[in-house]
Amino acid sequence: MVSRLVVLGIVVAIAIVSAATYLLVYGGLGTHGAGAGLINPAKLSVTIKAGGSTWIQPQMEVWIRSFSSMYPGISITYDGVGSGAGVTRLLQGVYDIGASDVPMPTQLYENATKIYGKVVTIPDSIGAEAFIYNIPGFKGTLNLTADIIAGIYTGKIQYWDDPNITAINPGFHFPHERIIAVHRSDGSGTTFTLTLWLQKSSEVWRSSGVGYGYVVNWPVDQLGTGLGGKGSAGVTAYVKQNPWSIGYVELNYAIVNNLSVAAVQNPATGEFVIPSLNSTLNALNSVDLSRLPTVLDNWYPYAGIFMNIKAHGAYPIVGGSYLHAPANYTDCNKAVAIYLFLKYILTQGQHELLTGYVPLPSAVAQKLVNELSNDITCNGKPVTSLIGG
Amino acid sequence: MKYGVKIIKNRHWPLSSLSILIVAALVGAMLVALIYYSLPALMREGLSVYTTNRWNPNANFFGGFAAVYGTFIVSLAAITIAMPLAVGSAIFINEFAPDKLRGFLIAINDVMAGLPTVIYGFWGLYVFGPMLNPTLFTWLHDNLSFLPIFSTKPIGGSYLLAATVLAIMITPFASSLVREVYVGVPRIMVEGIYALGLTKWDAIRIKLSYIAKSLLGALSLALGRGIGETVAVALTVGGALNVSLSLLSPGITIPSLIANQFGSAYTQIEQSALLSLALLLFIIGLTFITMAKLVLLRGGAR
Repeated sequence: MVSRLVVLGIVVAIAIVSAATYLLVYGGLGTHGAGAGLINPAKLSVTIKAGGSTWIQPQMEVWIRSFSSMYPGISITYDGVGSGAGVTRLLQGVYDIGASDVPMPTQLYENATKIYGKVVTIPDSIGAEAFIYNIPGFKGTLNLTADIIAGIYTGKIQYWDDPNITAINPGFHFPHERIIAVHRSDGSGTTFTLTLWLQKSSEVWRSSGVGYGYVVNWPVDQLGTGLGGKGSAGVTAYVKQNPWSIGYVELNYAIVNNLSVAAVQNPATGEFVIPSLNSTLNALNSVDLSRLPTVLDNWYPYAGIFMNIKAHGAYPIVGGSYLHAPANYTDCNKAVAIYLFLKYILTQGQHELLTGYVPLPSAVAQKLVNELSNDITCNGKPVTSLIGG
Repeated sequence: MKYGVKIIKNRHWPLSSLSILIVAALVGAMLVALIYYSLPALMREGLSVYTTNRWNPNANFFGGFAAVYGTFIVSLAAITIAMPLAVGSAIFINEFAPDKLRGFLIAINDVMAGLPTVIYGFWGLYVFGPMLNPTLFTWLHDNLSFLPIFSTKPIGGSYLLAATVLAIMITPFASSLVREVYVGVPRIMVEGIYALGLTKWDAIRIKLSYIAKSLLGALSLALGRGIGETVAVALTVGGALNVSLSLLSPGITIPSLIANQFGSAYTQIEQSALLSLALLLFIIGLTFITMAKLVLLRGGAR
């Protein structure tokens, strides 16, 4: 009899404890009462699917590992399928977070807001595009301007001894050799950033009508001296193999592989600046915060916001990498998990960057975190009001 | 005995015909899907999606002539290089190699045929290309530049480099096909040749002329396989939207253009334009393989 009572007591106790735990964790009643039933992030069990940009992939893997050690219940996967696919799969509902080397184009942003109501966009890391070259016998640093680069890739400048080039590189006697212009053959955010910058900075480029995008129709290709490499590795291979060639890669790729890079004239200051972590930071630290869009805005018109910044020693060809996610959720656990991950990337994650990935200025990151805390919502409530524990 | 064979055939025919039906249905479904997704581009651009050379997704220009042209040039050059290699190696293995070496060569051949193509691609980009460009390709340009096909200076990736890598890739496959038809020469004919007192070289010549048709079929089959090659070609062809008579200039092929751009194609029309190129490739490939099979069958029936 006594033992039966004990068993009954234990069963009741277990039931009460588990019911209470359930309420605490999953917030069954919590949405009605204040305080009770808040979501405890440490006990979340959520799966987030992310994918897109291959440029951010190595960094993203570092972030996911670090984030998972803090929140073991939140499991995040990342597929490096390319920026375009990252965004389209976000729209198809395959991914919770779409990563892209450029903000999603306006047309897709409008589609996304039709599907999800509101969409948040944040830059997650900054990168720059650097020019690499192979000029036999050349010592020192090659100087380039937007018009020269545009001239080379449109085929208007075909030889190294072109007066435009020799005028700003007086220390070297350039021979009459054809310039081999190497570009990416695959669709790439690198190409997007470079061509957007040319569009903003060079009349030669604008008048050529090539425009900007993940892939463009390089006029130099039709002269037989344009060469398309697959990925930064492909571009670098072609530049190394061909004397008298020039190509562009992401700055972090150039740094990691110890490639010598050209100084590019910043149209805002007239200075020739060598791309580096510091010269990219010089540009970023002078970005006008008041001109920055909010996380709910369409960032596409602002894709060039980090370019041609008027500051001493600021490198001009700077672009961001972006994350997109729906803003409102019906699954509050997922809302919290997404918020925590994005917040982590903007705060602690900025101190865990791999070589060559440039952190966001802390003022920018702080502004974005503040906006996220209000704008990521579950059933209309800001996600921050749901977090407890 | 004859009766037994018939029973086995009867018992198994529903299963085997089902599997062939599934395969046929898959090919059909693929074709239907390709046509369906190509329609927006085909309706907008018409056939100029295949015949004009201006590919600028930002301005919504989709003319993939450079890719269509490149696909033909690279395939044609590849089969020209692969043909003597395949026939030569098949003859060597069948006629001259000692038994032990023969087994070894066939094993090597199979290993080469099974290697992932990306390995050939990287080898072509990092080793083979840098080896050929300053030597053979430069020599061709320096000495034979009066020929339009060698009229430009080699600058890394080119139709010819891609074709050479492709040729090396399809040679093992082509070689094993050639070996099969070569062994298929009737014994009585071979004995007749030797009975006439002809030399080994005469015998080889006669055998080759006997299997000429099948040979063509085998090589077309190999070509059909090579025409769709993506990674290895994308890494070596030079990735430029260029149309040139010179084999030494960079270009692009349909599969490499699709592989390069499909990931970043976010508008429906751009995806559709890429798929309309895929459709053309599908039709070319299907035609080639069907023709090859027909020729092979007729050759065998002779």
